[in-house]
Amino acid sequence: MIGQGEEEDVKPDILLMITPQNIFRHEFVGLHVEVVASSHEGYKGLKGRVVDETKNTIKFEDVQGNEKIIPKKVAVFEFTLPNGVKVEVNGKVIAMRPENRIKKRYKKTW
Amino acid sequence: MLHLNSPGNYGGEIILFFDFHVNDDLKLVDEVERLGYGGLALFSNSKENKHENASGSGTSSRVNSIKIYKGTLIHAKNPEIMRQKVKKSRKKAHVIMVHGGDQKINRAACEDPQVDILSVPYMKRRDCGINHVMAKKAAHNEVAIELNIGYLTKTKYYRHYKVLSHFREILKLKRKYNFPLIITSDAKSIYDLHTPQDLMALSRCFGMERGEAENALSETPLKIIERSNIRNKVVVEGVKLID
Repeated sequence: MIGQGEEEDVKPDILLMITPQNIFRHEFVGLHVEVVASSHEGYKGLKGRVVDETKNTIKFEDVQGNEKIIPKKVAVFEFTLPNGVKVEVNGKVIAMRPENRIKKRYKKTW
Repeated sequence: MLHLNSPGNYGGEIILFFDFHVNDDLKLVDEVERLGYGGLALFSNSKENKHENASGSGTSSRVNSIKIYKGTLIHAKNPEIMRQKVKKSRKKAHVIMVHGGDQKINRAACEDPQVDILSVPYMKRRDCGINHVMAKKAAHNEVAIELNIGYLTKTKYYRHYKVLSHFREILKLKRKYNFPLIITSDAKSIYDLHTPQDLMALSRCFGMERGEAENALSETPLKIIERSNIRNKVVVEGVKLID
């Protein structure tokens, strides 16, 4: 178990590690997320802290403590990075297993 | 100075019209302003000046009520050179236009999302230069196809009729595949310029409806500029930074 002091030591590294340039390759668990657009109206506006991720879904916990499971492909997510920067990610880009996301080659096309 | 038209007012909604292919000249900027446009993109021919991106250099510093955007017109012999030139000048210009005509260049331009406008794909051709494959690609990559009124008005007899039929063919593909279409004047002197209303009326000659013509003169240029503005914030396709 990580003690309180150790956690504080780790935090600055995390701040440096997750950037908008690597967010789609990085671990989402622990980040704050909000659904900003979706083909299903009911998903819009849902927000919380990511607790789990599968190939096709993201599970997050909202303020009331309820767990919500959102399919990735139909939604656009807004992630807040540990340093406060907000990044909008289309669910189609991250619709694969987290361990496979680092393998995929992403190209800036425009 | 006599202003012919204010920006179009249709049912309480103000529409700003743009001319996205104008030669880099101070007289033309004043004339475009007088004709009631909301903005323009200035191009200088890289072939003539041998400077890749000299456009807008003199005029962008002037104070005008209309918006002036910097454009680069790219002439390339083959698709590889085209891609290199596009990559090189992408950050320097708001609007990148590729001079078409050659089938390979037309296709490469449609497949490149960094290109904003494919200019005159029908130049010196027997067909319109666009087929269903390119139309799909252009729609996916949001590459606007140019209907060059300057080219239409400068041709005569057989070529004139051919250009009109090319425009009709492009319009037919647009209705099916829904790629962006843009009407430009390609003005090199003030006498090449027309009011937006004239262009809309002229576009009826090749079967364009009023709404389509309005979109080609107003909505497509606005989308190009919007895309140009958010380009720096996009990390990869589908990932972008929020302020």
